[in-house]
Amino acid sequence: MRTLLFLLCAFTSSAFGQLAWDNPEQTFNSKPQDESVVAKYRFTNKGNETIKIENVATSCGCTTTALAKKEYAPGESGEIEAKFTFAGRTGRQEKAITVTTSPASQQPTVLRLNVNIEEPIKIQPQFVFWRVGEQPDPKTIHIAVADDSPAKIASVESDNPGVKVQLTELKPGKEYEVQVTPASVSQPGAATLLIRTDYPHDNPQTKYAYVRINK
Amino acid sequence: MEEQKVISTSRRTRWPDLVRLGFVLVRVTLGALFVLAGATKAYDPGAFAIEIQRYQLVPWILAALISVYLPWLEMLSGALLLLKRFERGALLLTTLLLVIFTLALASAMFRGLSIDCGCFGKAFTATGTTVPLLRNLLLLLFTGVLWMESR
Amino acid sequence: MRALRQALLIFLAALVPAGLTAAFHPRRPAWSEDTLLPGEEKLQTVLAWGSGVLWIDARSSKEYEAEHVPGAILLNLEDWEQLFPRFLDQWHPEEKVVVYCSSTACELSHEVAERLKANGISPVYVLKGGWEAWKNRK
Repeated sequence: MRTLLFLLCAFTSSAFGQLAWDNPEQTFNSKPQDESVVAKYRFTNKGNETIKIENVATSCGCTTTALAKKEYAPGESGEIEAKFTFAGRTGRQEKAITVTTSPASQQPTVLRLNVNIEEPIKIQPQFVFWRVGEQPDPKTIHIAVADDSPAKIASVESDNPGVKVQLTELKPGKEYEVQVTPASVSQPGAATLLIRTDYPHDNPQTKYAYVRINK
Repeated sequence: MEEQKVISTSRRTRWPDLVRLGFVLVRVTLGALFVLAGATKAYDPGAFAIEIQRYQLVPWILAALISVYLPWLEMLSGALLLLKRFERGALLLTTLLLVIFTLALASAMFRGLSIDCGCFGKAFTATGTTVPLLRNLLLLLFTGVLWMESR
Repeated sequence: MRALRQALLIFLAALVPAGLTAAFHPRRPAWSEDTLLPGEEKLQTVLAWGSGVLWIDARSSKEYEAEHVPGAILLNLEDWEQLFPRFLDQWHPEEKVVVYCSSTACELSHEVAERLKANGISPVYVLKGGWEAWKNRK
C-alpha cells in the first residue's frame, strides 16, 4: 500500500510539469513607419521532468513564431520569438499565440501580443456613396492627423468634376473635414479623392478616399 | 478439489515480484493519466466541445454532449482502476476509450485534417496528430498488460 | 460478465457529474447548433441566398490565385489601398457581401469585414468555416 501511494505521488507530480513564463502578455506602441513588431516570450521549465513544446499556434498568418528547440530539461530556459507583421492594419491589435506542451498538453498557454498601431493620418470613412435618385445631400469625411506626426493636409481634390470637395480645417494641422457634394445623382458615377499631404517634404504622401453613385 | 481457493491464490502468486511491480506501475500510470486528462477536459467543456468538432466526426449537439460527459467517465475509470472492487469494469472502459480516441486520431490523420488553421503555413507547426497517436498506442499496450494480469 | 456489469455502473455513475456540468458549469458548451458569432453565417445559409451574393476573399493573393470561390474578389489587408477601389467598382448596395479566409480559426475575414462596415458597406457577413467549409461542401 505504501509503495502504491509513493508511486501515485511520483507519477502525478511529474505530470504537472510546467513552464513558467516571464512575460506572457506584451503590449507595444508602434510608430507609423514600423512594419512589424517582435516580441520575445521567455520561459523556464520549473517542473521535474523534460517538457516538450508540441505546438505553437497563432490565430492568423500575420504572426509567425520561432523556437530554437522543442525539448527543455528541468531548470532549462528558452524563448519563443513572435513577429507580428502589420500588413495594413491600424489601431489596437490583439493577437494570441497558443502553446501546447507535453506533458500537460490539455492546458495550453495563451501568450498575448498587443500592439497599438498608430495611424498617422486617419480618414473616416474612406468611402461615401449615394443611390441614384436620392437627395444629393453633402456627406462628410473626417481626417485626423496623429499628434506626433509632422504631416499636414495640403489639399483635397476630386478626379471627377461632377463630384465637388471642400476642405475645412477644424483644428490647425490636426483635424479636418472634407465636404463631398455630387453635382447630380441621376446617373451612376465614381470619383477618387486625392488627399494631398505635405510630408515627407521631398516626396509628399497622397491618401485616397472614394466616392460612388450606385443604381 | 479446493478449486476456488487454489485459483484465487495461484492467480496472485504466479507472477515474480519484478513483474508485479511492473503491473502496479502500469496501473498507476494509466489511472493517473486518465484522471488528469479527464480533469483538464472537465475544467473547460466548451473548449473541449470545439476540439471534438474539429475532428468532424459528429454533429455539434453530440460534440456538446460528449464534452460534458466524457471527462467524468475518464476520471472515474482512471480512479477506479486503482480500486479492486471496480478494477475490471474500469479496465474495460479505459481500453474502450483509448480505442475510440485512437480511431478518431487516425481518422483525422488519414483525412489530412488540419486541426490548426490553414493560414499560418509559415509559422512553427509541430506534430499535431502523430505524437498523440503514438502515445495512445503505448497506452493501449498498457491496457493489454493489465488484461494479461487479470487472466 | 463482472467486468461488463462494473463498467455499466461506472458508465451510469458518470452521468451525475455530467448532468451537473451540463446545467451549471460556467464554461459549458452552447447547445444550439454551433452558435454563430455576430455577423457570421453558415455556408448553407449563404448558398440558399442564391445570386445576390458578393464573395470576398480575405487571404493572401497567392492563396487567392491558387483557388478561390468562383466569382470572389480579392480584398485583403496588406493590399487594401489597391484592392479597395477595385472592390468598390464591383459592389452594389443591394448585394450581400460575404467575406471568407482559410478556416474557422482565421481572423482575417473578421478584420476585413469590420473595415468594410466602417466604410459604410452593408450588409457584410463572415463565412463560418471559411475556405475550408467551401471545399468540404457536399
